[in-house]
Amino acid sequence: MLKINKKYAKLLVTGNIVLCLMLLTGCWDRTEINDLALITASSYDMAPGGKLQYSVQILLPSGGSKGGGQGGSGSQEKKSYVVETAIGIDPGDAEKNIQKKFPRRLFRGHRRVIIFGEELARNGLEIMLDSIGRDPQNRLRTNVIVAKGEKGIDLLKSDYPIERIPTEAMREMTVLGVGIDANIHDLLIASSSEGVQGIALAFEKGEGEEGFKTAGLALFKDLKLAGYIDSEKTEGFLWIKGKQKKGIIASEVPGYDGIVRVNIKSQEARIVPEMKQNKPVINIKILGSGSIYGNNTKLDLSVPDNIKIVQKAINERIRKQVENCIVSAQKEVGSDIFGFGLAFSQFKPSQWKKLEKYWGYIFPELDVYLSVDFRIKTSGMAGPPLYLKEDEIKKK
Amino acid sequence: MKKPVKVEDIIRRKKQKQYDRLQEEDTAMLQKFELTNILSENEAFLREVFKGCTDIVIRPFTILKFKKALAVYVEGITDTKLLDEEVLRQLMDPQNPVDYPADISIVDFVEEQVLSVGKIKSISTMDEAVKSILEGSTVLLVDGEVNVLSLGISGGERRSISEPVTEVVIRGPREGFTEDINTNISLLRRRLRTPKLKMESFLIGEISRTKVTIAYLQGIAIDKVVQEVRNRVERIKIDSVMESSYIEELIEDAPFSPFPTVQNTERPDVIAANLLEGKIAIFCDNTPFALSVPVVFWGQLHSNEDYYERFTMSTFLRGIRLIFTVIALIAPSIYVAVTTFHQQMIPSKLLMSIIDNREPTPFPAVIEALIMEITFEALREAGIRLPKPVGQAVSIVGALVIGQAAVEAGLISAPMVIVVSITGIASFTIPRYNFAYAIRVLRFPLIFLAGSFGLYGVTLGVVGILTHLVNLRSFGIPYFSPVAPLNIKGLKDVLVRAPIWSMNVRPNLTTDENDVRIPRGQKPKPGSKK
Repeated sequence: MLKINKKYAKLLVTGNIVLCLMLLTGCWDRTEINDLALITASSYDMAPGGKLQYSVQILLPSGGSKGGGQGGSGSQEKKSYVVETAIGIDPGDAEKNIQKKFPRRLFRGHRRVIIFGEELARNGLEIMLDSIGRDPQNRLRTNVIVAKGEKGIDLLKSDYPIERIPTEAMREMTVLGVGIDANIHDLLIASSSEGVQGIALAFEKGEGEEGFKTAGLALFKDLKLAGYIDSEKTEGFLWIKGKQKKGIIASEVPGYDGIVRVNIKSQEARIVPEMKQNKPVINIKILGSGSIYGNNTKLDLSVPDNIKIVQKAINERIRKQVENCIVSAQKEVGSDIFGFGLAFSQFKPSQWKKLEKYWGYIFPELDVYLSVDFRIKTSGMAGPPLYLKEDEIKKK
Repeated sequence: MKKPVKVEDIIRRKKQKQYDRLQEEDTAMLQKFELTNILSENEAFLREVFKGCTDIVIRPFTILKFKKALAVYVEGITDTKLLDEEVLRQLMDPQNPVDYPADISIVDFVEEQVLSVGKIKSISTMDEAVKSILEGSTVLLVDGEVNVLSLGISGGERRSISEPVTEVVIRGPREGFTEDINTNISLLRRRLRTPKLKMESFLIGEISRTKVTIAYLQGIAIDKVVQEVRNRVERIKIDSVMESSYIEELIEDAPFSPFPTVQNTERPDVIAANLLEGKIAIFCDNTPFALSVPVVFWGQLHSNEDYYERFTMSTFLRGIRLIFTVIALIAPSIYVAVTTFHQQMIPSKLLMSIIDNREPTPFPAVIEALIMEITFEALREAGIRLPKPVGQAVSIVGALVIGQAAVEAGLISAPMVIVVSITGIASFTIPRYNFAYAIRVLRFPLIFLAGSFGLYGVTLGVVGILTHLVNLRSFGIPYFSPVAPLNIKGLKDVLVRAPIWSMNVRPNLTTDENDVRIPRGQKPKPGSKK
């Protein structure tokens, strides 16, 4: 018989227990990557009977580097994602119904885009935002997109030529093209603060059969879709928010027959609330600087006076963009996406208390004073366009 | 209250007694015999003792042309050339006129006036005579004399000094220890020419009678630590010592810990530098590996070359080593934990490509990691054991089989191969081989923990290892010092290697009075007089 010292026996027993704990517990919530269905994007739409249609776009694994040579052309035709959809009474219920149809566990940890159908967005997002915000798997930096004029699932199903996952293209386009990264986090903050309304990015189907394109911003009012502003006006929004930190702005130069383009180097904006004769007024000050990027007028931009002419035209153009944006938000949509109310609540709290109740009526009629001070710092490598003959250049 | 006596104790004591008695019997026979002045009796006894030992040479001759004598030595460990030319010729040559005054004994006369041998000793017991024969000395017995002479002309074939294989440096001395303890000690003495370099020798091993020497710098090493080392070495009772690892295992602080608390090295410069830091060296005959104690965790990540290169480079390399030590320990378990429990933590695009690669593989990530790690360890083991020309073939087959075929067959995913190979490379960046063993072994429990508890398990494991490390002591010095307990001055030589002119004091394990290593103000600058 095996004789074991008592001291060692104790050690052996504890060792065995630890080993059993590790090996027999079934690795409680272990999930192999092969058993995951990676949701790259999902959409919420209205379904008949007040129900919710929930759709998910799921990554299809390509099968790896296995036999790299043989795959070749064949794998290119294969789609890299699949869209599943189900109807339920609320987001959780709908997701459960999708899971029933799917052999792998749905995994929301890498969802980077959430699309709301227009119809649903007009009805309000409350229930979705709660379920998204409550679930620890979700990322708060997930982009929020409204499908302009269509159902979310239609955008989810559309291909995009460059990216492997089309919604990845959507995400990149919001950053590069629109310039705003409108996400769940911002939307939740906006809706829980006073005097500011949330925004989302608007996308619509492209002209051709496939693809999609940006369509400006979707404006919310109390978490209900209130309207859209186009990309031109979205730039106005960026100027007001001080987010137009890079990019290009172009303007015709009146009287000089040509266009000047400016590369934006820096930008900021200040929203200053004021009570003028007992009436709330907003002053917006937009500052910025940039350098000449293109010039096909005949002006010699190495001459400071000519720069001033161009600068004036650019300022005019910015003013136009901003005015258009404000007018749209005030008159057409009636949604305070700029946070004018927020400015009042922060800088004039006593007045805000009186205004708060009526802000919905005040905002569309609010007087906004705009001052734009955009400066051109350098003219680039050349003064006049290089192709001009000497006598064609206008020095003054 | 009297403690009840356990059966095991009785058995143990009985065995101890048996062992002691056997040892006694061995020596008793030698001790019982007293040297006589009749040569034939002594010779008969020696022939009896060395019966069956064909390497013993017993050579009778006539000393100084009138007395019978006997030279006894072991062939191969005595310098026979010296014996023939300097000893036997002196004593036997009829051309060599020696006036033998009758008033002193012939042994004393030979010792004092005839033989030009430096290490010569007069012995009066048979026990000692036999021992010195076996140590390589030649013993001279003369008829009519009770005392015998032991001539320290040991020699024979030994490996010459060569570059150490295990610790290769780009800049630094290329000498390494050999199997001969006297050579090794001479290599140390060449580096520390001071009477303060003290040594104490022990013969350990009832059968092997291996010479073990401890060396330290008096005044720099702490006396208490020296005493502790001395005690632990003296305490050893063993039949034989084949390598210094025998000594190491018998004196180390934490016999069950995977981490070594005794450092071994083949390089005399490392031992010398260690002694200057107040450490104690232990040499062992018949092995090129000398030990040094105490040792701390950070010392395991230092290479002697850190001090031979410029400090900027050494500091950078130490950073690399620390990073890769951590990688060697936790990279596979982090990969397993993250891919099976925390998929959110992986950047989306990386996750997509991992998914694509893992799609065809049949095993869970834990199993995959274990298969790969074990295979890698097996390959490494095979590479060491196989003869050199075959080893190359093994590594090629291994690389092809694991690296390519397994991935192409879809058995193992490519990211796992990458993780395992990075881990493998990382474990080679650790300069101390026995420390790297610990890291390699601890990887496996961590993979298990990662597979069952995720990052939580990995954290738990790493915290456990750290707790163990800060608890360890090597000859009274905390293993994690000078970081825990913190010693700000000591930090100059932990992660950064400060310039030599700024390391003004020795590490904190030395005595206070000999603290200063380099006086201040030696930063080189132009025009300075001092």
